[in-house]
Amino acid sequence: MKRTFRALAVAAAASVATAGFLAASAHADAPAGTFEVDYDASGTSTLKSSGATVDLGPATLKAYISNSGDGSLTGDLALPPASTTFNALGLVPVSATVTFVPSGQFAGQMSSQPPLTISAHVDYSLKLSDVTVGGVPTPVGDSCQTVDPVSIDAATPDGQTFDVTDGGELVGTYTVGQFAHCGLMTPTINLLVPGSGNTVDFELSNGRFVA
Amino acid sequence: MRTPLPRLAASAFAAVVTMVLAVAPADAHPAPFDATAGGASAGQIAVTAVAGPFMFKDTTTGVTFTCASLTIPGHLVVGNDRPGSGIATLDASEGLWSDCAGPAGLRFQWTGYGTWSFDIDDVTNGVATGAITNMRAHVVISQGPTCSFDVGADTGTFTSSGTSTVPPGAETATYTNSSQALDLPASNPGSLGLWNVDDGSGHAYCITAALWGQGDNLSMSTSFHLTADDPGDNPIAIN
Repeated sequence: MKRTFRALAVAAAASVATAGFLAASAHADAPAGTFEVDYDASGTSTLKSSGATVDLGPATLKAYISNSGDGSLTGDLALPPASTTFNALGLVPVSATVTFVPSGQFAGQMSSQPPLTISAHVDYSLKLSDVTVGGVPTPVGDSCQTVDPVSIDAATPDGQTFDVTDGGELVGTYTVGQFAHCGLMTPTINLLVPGSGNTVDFELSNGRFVA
Repeated sequence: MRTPLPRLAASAFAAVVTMVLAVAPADAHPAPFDATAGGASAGQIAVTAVAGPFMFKDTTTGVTFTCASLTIPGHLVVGNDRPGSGIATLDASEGLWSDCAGPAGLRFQWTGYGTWSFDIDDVTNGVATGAITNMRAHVVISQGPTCSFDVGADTGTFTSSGTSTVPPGAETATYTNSSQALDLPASNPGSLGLWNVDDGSGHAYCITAALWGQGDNLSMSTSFHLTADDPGDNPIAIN
């Protein structure tokens, strides 16, 4: 009888602990020494070489703002895959699914004096899938992506400000390097996609503190 | 032939005089003032100022804070021929700021300090104009980054912590007899200041000085409904 009671007590304690853990994990993801403000994020990226436009988001940007008072922040921005189409060499219609795969967290900095602005740096690998050329599915495998992550610097545009609650716009440029592991399409993709002068334009909104 | 001109001039002069008289306030006057409160006889009566929402803005950075409601007990001096200074007072230390939030919903706790004084210098058509003076408060972020600051005057030099080092500030205010509204207008240009900012790391700002920094100008805006605690002492009027 005692053993049964003890087993029940242990089971109850375990379930309380589990419930507590689950409750805790529903809270902020902010690392120690930071507090979390989440934003709705959406935008576009334009690849200069092909003219293709890729929708970014909708997604949730999790900003972990330092509690040290230096205005620094880190964060996570996982973007959903997006479809894009363009005409290769101006003639052949190409479609693909583009996935920005995060290579770690982004790092940012708030301005030290008003007006409030933000700058941020983030690395993503660009992954291509579901490629069709002239409407014909063209296998590129499951690992068709840039050899090195693309390095994106984005910031509040000149003349604009960032609002902790309302968010704001972030714009930047980046260079796409060579792709690998795209099968027979690797040379073609490297002919069409890599290059500099690609742009990103993000709109962050609906900032909310996550306790 | 020369007669119509003087006549015209006289008519024009009369019209101007009439317009000036029409525009001039009928009962604008400086102190002394008469304060009445229902059937209360001369002396001090208990009043309560209830506001909601209450907004507080760092006019240097544009960051705003809000409280869903604010209740402050106080007193009104009833009587005739009163000076404008301290005609009503609010015991800010007994004030209750409820449901206060800042940018992105960061949570704040407000504590008022001292006795805020409603000082008037004019009454026009049932509207008393003046300022709420001796304003001080202490604000702590209760959810979010570590940060606290004091609210006081808009000028000065403050290097030590503690509210005792902050001179009190003032905001323009009006009291309207017909609505019993004690208003701090949103147009207040930031005559209060933010001091003793402490982010827990030795910085005189919170997160970044682009949000809250030492010496930033501040303004409060709200509309209090001012009522006597004894129902028989209403309405409150200042003339």
